[in-house]
Amino acid sequence: MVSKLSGTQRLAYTLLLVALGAGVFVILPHFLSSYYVLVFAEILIFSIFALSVNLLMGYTGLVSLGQAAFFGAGGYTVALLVTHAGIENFWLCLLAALAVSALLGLIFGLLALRTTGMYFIMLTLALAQMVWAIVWRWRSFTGGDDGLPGIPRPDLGLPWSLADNVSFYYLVLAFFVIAVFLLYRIIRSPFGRTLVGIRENESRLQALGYNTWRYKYVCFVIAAVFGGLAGTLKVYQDGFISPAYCSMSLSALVVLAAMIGGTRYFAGPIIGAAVVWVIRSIVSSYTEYWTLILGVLMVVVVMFARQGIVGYFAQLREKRGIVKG
Amino acid sequence: MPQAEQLALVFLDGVAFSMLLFLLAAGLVLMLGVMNIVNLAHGSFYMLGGFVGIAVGVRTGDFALAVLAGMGAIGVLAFAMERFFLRRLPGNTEQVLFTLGCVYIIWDLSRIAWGSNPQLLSPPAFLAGSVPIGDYRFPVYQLAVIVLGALVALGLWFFVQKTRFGAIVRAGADDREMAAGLGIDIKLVFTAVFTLAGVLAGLAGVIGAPILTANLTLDWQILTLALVVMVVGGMRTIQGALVGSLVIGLVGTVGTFFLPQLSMFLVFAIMALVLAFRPRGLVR
Repeated sequence: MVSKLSGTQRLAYTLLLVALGAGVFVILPHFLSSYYVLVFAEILIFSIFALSVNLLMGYTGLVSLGQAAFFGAGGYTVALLVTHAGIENFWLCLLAALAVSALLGLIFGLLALRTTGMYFIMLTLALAQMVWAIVWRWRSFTGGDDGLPGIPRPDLGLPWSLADNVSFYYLVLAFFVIAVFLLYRIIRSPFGRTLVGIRENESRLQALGYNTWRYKYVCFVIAAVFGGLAGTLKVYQDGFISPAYCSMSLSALVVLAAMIGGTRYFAGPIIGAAVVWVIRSIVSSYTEYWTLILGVLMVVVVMFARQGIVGYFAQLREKRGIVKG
Repeated sequence: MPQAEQLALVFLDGVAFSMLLFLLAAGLVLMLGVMNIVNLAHGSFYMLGGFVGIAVGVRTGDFALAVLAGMGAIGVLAFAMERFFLRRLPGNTEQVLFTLGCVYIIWDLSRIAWGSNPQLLSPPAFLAGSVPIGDYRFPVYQLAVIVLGALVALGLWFFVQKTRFGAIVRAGADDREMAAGLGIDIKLVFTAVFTLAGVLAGLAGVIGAPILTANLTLDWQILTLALVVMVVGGMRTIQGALVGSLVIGLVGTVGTFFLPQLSMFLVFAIMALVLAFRPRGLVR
């Protein structure tokens, strides 16, 4: 985490990387087949999702295995509004989805944040499984395991349609940029610094007079909202929702993505999500053993690569700096 | 209105299910207390135990052998997981995430080995009948599961509270450093506890197979219920695990009988109520 670069150099590096990344993402869809445009949209969506879980895991030190509850809450809110209430307005649906995710975050946070460590892991898991079970069982409302089909691509009232994949990709890209900007600002703010402080030494912060519970609670709700945003975008991409949106496997997958990228780095979850989704889209066209590969990947990362991809390169750069210096 | 006999049947059914949950929750309580980890693969242990038991039971026709095979296989697996992986990991969070990876590996290997169709194990011949309760009949097998569960509960309580090794386990749970400082080989205790929990989960998997079948959805289902049991019971004691199992097993089963649509919801509602009003569980 400690960088040997000076502030200006660091800023220049970051700007260069961001500009390069942005350029690639803007031009990208024109070189890809329609299928891969959707894969990339999905990567951006899951990057938002992985960033949200990493706000808890990497910055605050709270491992949540229930983040899919908020992803599903956002997705199901949109799906139910569109299919049951016939509301087609994108902004209204988005707002409702974010509000429902936030509300769920407020409730689950109250319950789960009474605890820490192992208990927090168990509670987030159990609470998310509760959402899954309700969605699964409440057939008449949520369609059960058949899900809810027939959600059209959003209509933003713009002169062009978002029905084709490239336009939709740009919508997702816009939300991705906004989400990254906001989350970056949050992490760099005094609030974000306090979260890191909680991760490193909670009792010390308490002794300094911080109400750490309140910080964790706000962080939990923010993570829930961004999880809900990711779910909203995903349901518009798929045009369909199923209980898989709030499944345990999804919660685990997004934690894995953050770990592969590196939980201690802002860009980690983005890189991790990209790696996981590229592997998945390649692997699943060759074998049916995706789940096995996922499990092995998780074990290997936990055993041998805990700093993640971004962490590996950061260490490499640091070592080189030392050799040079 | 259902008759009293019918209620008694549902009640007994619920107690039998509670005993399966107890075998898992007891292991989870021991692991949490001593090692401070939650084994997310515990439901997978249950599921795999069932598959192994069925494979052996169907081939040999010997139920006792099936039970031993399930317990042995999961015991060996748990031993290997602890000895070769968990102990090398630096923190509890990493250990939990490792067990999460194992969930996927066990699930996919089970799918490859046994396919997606549910499999059934017949109860042993001497437990195959049923006993009359009023106008109804209740399977002897479920009664045997209740008796076995009660015996294991008693055995575990005796083991933890009254034996030397149990004292070591409790010492490890209370203060790890102090226990290690007193010359207790805490690593050995970890391995023993994790293996014991695995054996119990394997036992539950095999004896549960004639009741619940063995299928690929059990891993998360059972783990979730076992976690809910722990939340309700208080996470720290074998007694708590027993109380939690009875509450959740009975609510789940009786709820399924009266309100099949809402039974899962009832189970979680109880968890939420306990969390809201007695966050440290029913048994403190």
